[in-house]
Amino acid sequence: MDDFSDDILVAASRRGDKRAYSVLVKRYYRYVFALCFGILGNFHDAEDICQDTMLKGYEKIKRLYRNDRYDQWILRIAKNLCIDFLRSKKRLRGFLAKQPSGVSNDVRDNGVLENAIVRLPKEYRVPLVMYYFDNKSATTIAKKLRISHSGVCQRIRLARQELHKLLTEEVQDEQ
Amino acid sequence: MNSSCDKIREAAADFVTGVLDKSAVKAFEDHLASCDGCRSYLRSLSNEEELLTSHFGRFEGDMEKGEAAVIRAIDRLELPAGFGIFSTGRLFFEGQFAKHGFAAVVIVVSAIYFAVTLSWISQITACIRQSM
Repeated sequence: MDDFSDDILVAASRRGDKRAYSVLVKRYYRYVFALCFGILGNFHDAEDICQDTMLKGYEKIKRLYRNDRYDQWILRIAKNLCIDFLRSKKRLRGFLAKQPSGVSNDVRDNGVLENAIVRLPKEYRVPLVMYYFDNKSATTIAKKLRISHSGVCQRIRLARQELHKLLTEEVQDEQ
Repeated sequence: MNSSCDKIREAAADFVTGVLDKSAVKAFEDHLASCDGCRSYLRSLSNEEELLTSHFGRFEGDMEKGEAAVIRAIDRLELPAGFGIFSTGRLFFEGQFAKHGFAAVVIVVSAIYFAVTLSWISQITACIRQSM
């Protein structure tokens, strides 16, 4: 079943075949996670939203009209859930008025790099994160984000330059 | 650092990520051979590339755990309403083609109905006029 096309797997999932949907989960989980991580910049939030997205995808799969567009459809759901999450977080932050903006509270050890990635503008961060999650294939990212290949390359380039600047600043601050 | 260094440093990110155009690689390497500043810039970008690759590589295990968690959750889920034998009709109307086709049929049938009704009314009016 792992070799079946999205088309067949979506049709089977629509009939309630959980095994078929599991293959779609294995195939697209990392892309959805990369997008969520790119938008939210926080591992735990991205993981939660990614899992919600995949579950929502199963529940709403009957609404997908084009079986071959599952990848774009599931990424759109993820993007909308991330936006909703950021809105609710913003409301909560306004209420609590104490959360520092844009800084990840991720506990992983590579804090400097993590913070620098979080500080990148979202339009650069999303393709950059997806690039490293997707075996460094700009072509696949271009297809998934529906932007041109040169557009992806340009954003990755700008992201790398900005990241270099941020990391250099961090090192200088520490010295 | 001169103006050509700016261009070379722009190309350095593409070189490191492997998307620099082959035609530009020669000029890039020639410049590097004679410029310590750009060589050092490229070295730090390459180090960052390794850092990024290993940083995101550490998520691999988390991906597998996450996938497994979703699959377990789906196994526990009841079938959403509308799955199964009774959903055939609903599935038919969920297709774009079926929806538009159905709308077109309704419009055509309505148009025929109105045309027939209008002709009947005009015939009845003519009969009434003749009888008067």
